[in-house]
Amino acid sequence: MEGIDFEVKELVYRGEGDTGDFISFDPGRCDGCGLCVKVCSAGLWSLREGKARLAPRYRELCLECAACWEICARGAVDFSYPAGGTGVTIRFG
Amino acid sequence: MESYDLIVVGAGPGGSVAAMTAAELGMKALMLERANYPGEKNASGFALSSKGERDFPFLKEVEFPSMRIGRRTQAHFLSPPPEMEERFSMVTATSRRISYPEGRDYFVKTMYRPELDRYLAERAVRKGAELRLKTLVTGMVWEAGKVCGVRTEGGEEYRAPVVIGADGVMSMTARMAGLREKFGRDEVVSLCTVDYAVPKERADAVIHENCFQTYFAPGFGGLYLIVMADGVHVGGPGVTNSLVSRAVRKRINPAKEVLQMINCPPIQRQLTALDARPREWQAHMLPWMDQFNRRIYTGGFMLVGDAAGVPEPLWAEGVWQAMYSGRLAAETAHEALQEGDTSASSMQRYCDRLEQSPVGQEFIAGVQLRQLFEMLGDPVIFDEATDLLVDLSNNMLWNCQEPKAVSINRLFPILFENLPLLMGMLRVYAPILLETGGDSLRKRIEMIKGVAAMVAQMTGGEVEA
Repeated sequence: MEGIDFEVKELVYRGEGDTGDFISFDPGRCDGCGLCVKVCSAGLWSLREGKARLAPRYRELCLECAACWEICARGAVDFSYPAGGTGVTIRFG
Repeated sequence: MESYDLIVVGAGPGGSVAAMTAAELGMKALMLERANYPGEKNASGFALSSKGERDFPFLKEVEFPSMRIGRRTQAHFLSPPPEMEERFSMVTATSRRISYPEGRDYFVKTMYRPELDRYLAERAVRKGAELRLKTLVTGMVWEAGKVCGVRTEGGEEYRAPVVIGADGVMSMTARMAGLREKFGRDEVVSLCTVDYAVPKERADAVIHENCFQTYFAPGFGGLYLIVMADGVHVGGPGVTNSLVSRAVRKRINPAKEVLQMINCPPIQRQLTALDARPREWQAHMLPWMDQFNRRIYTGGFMLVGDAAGVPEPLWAEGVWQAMYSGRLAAETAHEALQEGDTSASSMQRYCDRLEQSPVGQEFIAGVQLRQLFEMLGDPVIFDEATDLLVDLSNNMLWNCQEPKAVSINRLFPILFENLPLLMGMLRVYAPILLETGGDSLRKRIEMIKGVAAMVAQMTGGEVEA
């Protein structure tokens, strides 16, 4: 993401284990408003041909804030928690 | 299938206090936490206010390695970008008028959440509650229209006549219980935080007890700089910009805004003085409601903490509220079990009590308070308000550039020129004052009128009452 001058992405820690899919995206409901792209703190959403697109490697990069789910007015983005004991580990929260 | 008196989903401060209260009341309580340890999933610049010790005296005994006491707070007002330099700053000690001793002693104690959350969960276990980690709840068990248990992703089923949802801002239990799909765009903010490692002796020397600082700049929502014993959190953007509904209008990316503001010279100087090294990058959402949320219960089910939307709408404080709501919910569950009635109307007592409690009182004038924050979030108004503060302080006496007689005589013109701004502020403040203290305010106005009449009589003039 532009404007980030030190590599904050490298300062995210993750536990072992398979998170499973915890974000689902329904392109049929997406109207291409681009708000998910704007709110994502990890830069995982992009717009292609008038539809949002979630980075295929999102499970390894997502910060689990769920802002994309929160902001989507069309119900195209759904969020559930990663599997128990997996995903982002916040050591200094 | 195992049976309990109470199941608590989430072992954060709200869930752990609910479970420990239930255990103290003799209930068989189970806590289910999806993380590897309590506090693993919490991202926030964390400071527990003195209300914590007032209402939970056992906290007085606690010392955590990361704890720092905040007897001062500081607000920094910066110039617009690209300069973003300090224009006005104020350090404040606690007011001697605060109504309880802990509140007169300090504002907050800062600490890292894994330490607090682990301590609270362990205390609940010591009191007799059971804790299961790495356990994700994926469904509710219903009976006769009431929640009566939960199912986990591993396929286990746990039963209890009452379930408490303490699973945070994107509460899945709220969804499963049919209370809401998700919070509205106007009801949450999105925040990012950089955590820095700091040598403790540096933090002691540079920060000491001034460990809760905020930075505001025109057009920026504001950043908090919170110093623990040996770490710093710099995060934001503050509520005025990161409200998701504002992101819709202004199309702001919270991560970009935070990182841009961290680069401003005054914050960089603080971080240099502290020898701070970036350690962790975090993002999370926070409820920021302007009204008390009443959709927090149904038959056999109650929401507490962030899941209930209780954080207070200025400091964004939420842990004390979570603990307070957790205790009230557990007490209500205990009563309900004794009466054998876990219906929605029985659970409603929790909601009523919470609304009347200090937690609910924070939402009095919430709508007007939000208007005030949004007004100050406007770059032009913010810059003018900072001008006023600087003009007054530089001209009142704090002046070495001109003869004091010249600058002091500027005070009336300054106030006169700023009348539109002051009236604008008053327009927002007056309804807040009337709603929060209407009666005493009206009495005082009557008193002033009485005195005015007396003065008029004494001086031979007339005043219409």
